[in-house]
Amino acid sequence: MRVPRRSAALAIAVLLGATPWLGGCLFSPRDPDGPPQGDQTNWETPVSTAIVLSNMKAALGDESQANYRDCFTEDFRFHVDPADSLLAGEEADIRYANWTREDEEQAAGNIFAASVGVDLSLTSIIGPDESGDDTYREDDYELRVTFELAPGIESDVLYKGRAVLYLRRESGRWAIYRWADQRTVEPEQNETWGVLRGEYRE
Amino acid sequence: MRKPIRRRARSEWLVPLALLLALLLLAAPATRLRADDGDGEGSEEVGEQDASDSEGTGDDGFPEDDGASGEDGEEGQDGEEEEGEIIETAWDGVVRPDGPPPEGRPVNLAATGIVPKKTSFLGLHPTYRLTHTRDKDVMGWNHAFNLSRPVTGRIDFTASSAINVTENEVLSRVNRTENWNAGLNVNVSRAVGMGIKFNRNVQRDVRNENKPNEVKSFREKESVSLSSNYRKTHLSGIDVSAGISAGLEKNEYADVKNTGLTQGVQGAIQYEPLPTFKTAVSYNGGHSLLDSKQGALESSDESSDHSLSGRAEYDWSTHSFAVDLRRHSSSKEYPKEQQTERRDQTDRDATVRADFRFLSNITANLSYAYSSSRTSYALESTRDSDMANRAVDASLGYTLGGTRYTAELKSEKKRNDYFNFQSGNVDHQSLGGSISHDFTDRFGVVVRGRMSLLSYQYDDIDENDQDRDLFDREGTLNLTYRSKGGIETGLLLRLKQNELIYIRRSRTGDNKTTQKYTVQPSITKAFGGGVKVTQKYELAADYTFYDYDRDSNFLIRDIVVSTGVSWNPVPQLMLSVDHRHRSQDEGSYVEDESGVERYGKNSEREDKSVGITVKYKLLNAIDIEASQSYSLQTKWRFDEGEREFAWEKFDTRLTGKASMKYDVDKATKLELSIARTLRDATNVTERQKDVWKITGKINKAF
Repeated sequence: MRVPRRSAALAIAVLLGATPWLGGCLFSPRDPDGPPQGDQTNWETPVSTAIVLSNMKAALGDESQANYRDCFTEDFRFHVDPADSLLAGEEADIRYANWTREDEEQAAGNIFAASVGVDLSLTSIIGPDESGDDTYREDDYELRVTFELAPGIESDVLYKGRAVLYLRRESGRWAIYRWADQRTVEPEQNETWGVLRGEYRE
Repeated sequence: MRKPIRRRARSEWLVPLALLLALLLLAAPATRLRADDGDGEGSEEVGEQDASDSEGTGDDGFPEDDGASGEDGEEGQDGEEEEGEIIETAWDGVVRPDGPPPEGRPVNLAATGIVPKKTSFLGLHPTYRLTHTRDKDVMGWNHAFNLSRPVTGRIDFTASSAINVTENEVLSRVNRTENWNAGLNVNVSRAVGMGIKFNRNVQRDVRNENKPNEVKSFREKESVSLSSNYRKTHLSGIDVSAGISAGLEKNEYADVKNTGLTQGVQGAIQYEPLPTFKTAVSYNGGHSLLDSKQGALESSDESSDHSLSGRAEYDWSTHSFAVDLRRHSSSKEYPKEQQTERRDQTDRDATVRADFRFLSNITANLSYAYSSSRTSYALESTRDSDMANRAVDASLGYTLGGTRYTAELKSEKKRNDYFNFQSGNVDHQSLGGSISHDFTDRFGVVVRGRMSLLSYQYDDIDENDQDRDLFDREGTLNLTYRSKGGIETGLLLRLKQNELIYIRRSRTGDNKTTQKYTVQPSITKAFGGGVKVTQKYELAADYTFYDYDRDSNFLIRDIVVSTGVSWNPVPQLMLSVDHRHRSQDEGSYVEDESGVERYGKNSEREDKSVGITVKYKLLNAIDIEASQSYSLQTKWRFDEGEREFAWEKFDTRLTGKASMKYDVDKATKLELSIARTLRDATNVTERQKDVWKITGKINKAF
């Protein structure tokens, strides 16, 4: 029996639409080891820009790379302070150029690996206008990273600066799509988070 | 610690030599042109410019007519980018919160589309562009000057400069970037060319200028190089090119100063034995020896760079095949904290690609790519890395009648070695497909499906518990219908699911699945008299389910209605009114006593905005725009089912803008734009209440 071309196309379309939900057969994500041993999640659905920042703070504290990644959009770009870029000299390119979400995630992972604790505190300088789907805000940050110099010997390093954040709302969730770092104190006092990122990019 | 190698570059003699060569090159044309006249066999014009062609034909790079193309200017810009090695990793020293986000790189003037007509002035072809931007806090100047001078048919001189200055009063910060280029090129024969180039880049960032707490950051680079190149196409289908260059380089940044010599070698062979078979091999090499000084450190830093690449292309019937191979290795020494750092890097890339076309309606593409990159540091060995990447990409397209089918499969496997517990594998697979069909001229359907799995697998699971899978799936259905009455309608249905699966038990508390359901109908109706009405709706439900923390399950619901009316009574006048209403609520989505998941609203929010815009073109030259907008956001919280007012924010803006483009004469173009925004809003700062923005551009071709 000849199947009408239009019906065949419709059948294929339905099959195609359903394919992602049959995808477990093709792509099999791994099973987790089991229920958590530690704390429950500190992630909140980011329905406001303030929650994005609190999620970021929690992800840094919990050393959760996936939750940290979810604070940023796919097209995220980070721009270091121009003075930090100039001071990096020959290494400016490899440290800071074309910084994407993958770099952000990688740097966070490397910082987690090199430290024993990360604590972020933020002070709002300019608040966001969240009436649209695109906004910005300015926040001063203090990022305290605890490094273990030797077994039992820890040292805190404080990174200070200002984050000018551009955020976008997609499907009700806010995420950062651009971060411009600004130096607020001199390098002799405190480096910026941008410098820390550059040191742990690779 | 590495001891610096003390070798001094004897560079002093090169400066007079360069000047001497420049003079020789200027004097050379009269004696060298005839010597090559008989050497025309099989050669093609390669960079050859006959003196008789130098004006007005376009062959010399200057367009004859109004020059809408402006290629020459663009080439100048490109050249500057190649020369300009100051790396733009930051915005131009200034961040403007009041405006749209600035681009990450300086504005490419050639990309502005404003390229004035090129004219000749005493044989020179100078153009000058000036751009001034100012608002309440930030002032920016941009100067760009280009000069071209065909000295004879075989010699041309080019020079360009680009200066960007940005001053931010609020941050008390000045950022200045300068780029200067000059070059003299000589076509010694049809196949041989020589040239001398000068380049200077300066970037400065100054905070608190002329104050006791002034801080300066800067970087300067100067280079001059002599080059010679050869290129010839033989009758046998072999195209050979080769070149050498040598020069001087001087750098200064932070507390580092260095000067020294640079050398470069290039060579390429292209061979086309058959019209359907092409091959190419090329090599680029560079070497530099710089005497560096940083504090007590005095060293000679040697750097080298080698790049070898090959390509083969073969066309068989309607199919084509290509193979690309590349190997790049570099070694760079530079001062770092008064020691000599050395970075060695080796990259290898190989790509095999096949493009098939079966019949006229089936296409298929298949490619395999392998790349590896190994980087090591002498001082900071903790930054060493060794990466390898393998990727397969396959796609299929099929058209049958009015239906188009596509399918795409990607698989990528990365191996990342950091020589610590961050080492591991990253696998990424994705599969996608679409079907589009036009049932009639008025009714069309597109169905898309896609899924991907991103998997992070670390070697040392005892030290690194970040093993995770991200599993994404998405399906969309898009319907469009246009009625006979001119009503355009659309309907988009989207289902999207993302799963985050941490593998280790220390992390599984974060495991979650988000599901988003979206419906977006839209309707547009054009009436007579230039009136157009558009209405768009969006209904969305966004669920978050936690695998092991079900009390945290969450739901966001969104309803957005956007309405726009525009009216073009006459071509010069446009009025529009836009209204947007968003209602959003969110809350827990957890099981009740009976085990059924129920929605418990935590908060509700309403955003309303209305805007009116009038645009008018005055005297066919000045664009005038006035707009006013008002938005109100209100939030309520729910406490045991009772709605309580939480907060309310408003934002109102009145903006006036006038802009014009004016051709003063054929060679001079002027652009001016003035805008002022008065704003009042909840929590607005004083400097955001009254914002001016003025932009002026002058383009002058002499």
